[in-house]
Amino acid sequence: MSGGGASTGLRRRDARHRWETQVGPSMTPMVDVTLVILIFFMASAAFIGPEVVLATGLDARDEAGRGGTLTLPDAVIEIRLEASADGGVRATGVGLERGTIDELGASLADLGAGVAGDDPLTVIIEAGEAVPYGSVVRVRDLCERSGLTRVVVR
Amino acid sequence: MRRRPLHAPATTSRINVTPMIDVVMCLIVFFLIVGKLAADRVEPVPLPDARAGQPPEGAGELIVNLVLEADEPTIIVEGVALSPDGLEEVVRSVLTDDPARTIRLRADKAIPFGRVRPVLEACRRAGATGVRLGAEQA
Repeated sequence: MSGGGASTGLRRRDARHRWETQVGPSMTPMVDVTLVILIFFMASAAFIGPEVVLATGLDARDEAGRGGTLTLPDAVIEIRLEASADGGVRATGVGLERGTIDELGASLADLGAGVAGDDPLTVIIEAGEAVPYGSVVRVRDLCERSGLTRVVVR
Repeated sequence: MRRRPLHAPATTSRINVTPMIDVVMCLIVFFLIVGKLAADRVEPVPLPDARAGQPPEGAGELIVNLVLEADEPTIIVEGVALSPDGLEEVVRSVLTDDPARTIRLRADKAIPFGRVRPVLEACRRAGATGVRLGAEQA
């Protein structure tokens, strides 16, 4: 084997050459590229990361309550949401009468467990004018977590 | 032939490409992010929280933003503010071209539902049977 140290990148010292201290490939470009890729994924995650969607049906009735072309099935559960005087939201339906959303969540979980494997129920969420949209989505989320995926909002 | 001095100053004839790679990569990343935002037309909206749900489809969706501007809900689609009637026309046009296209509603969680309903009504009048409610994964 000629040129001892070739496998490590070291070269024989002679009168013309000093020791070359670099062993292996240069790490700088790789670190650069890796950092840029890291920043890219962090930035992408900030923009597109945590968003999810909840598929929701639209009621076929028009603003005046006249029937539309979509016929709802018979197995329907109605939930009525109303804004209360204390700034909260009260839910009526699924055995509740002006209960809290947490109580509604428990009732929906029981309902979902009871109908598991049967034909899916359709849940209709009817929200009052003053109910915050966030509460409507929260109830829609509770339905999804209870296995009730066919939900209509009106 | 001239003899080279014993300790000649080290000269590098190669161009150092590392800074160029840095700059080019940064530009690529910048345009990828800007392109992504432009494609989605995503407005900064404080979305409701949800623990369930599916990941959004992405490029195939029509994204309808409902944002609060000066305490007034404003419908924004692809950067353009629309009335409910204008939204109805847009949705009808989109569904005429591709009936399978989905609609994602990204609405401010603080907006009263009475101000969201006209958006849903406009989609329904345009022929949509459902929308996807955008939420932030809790």
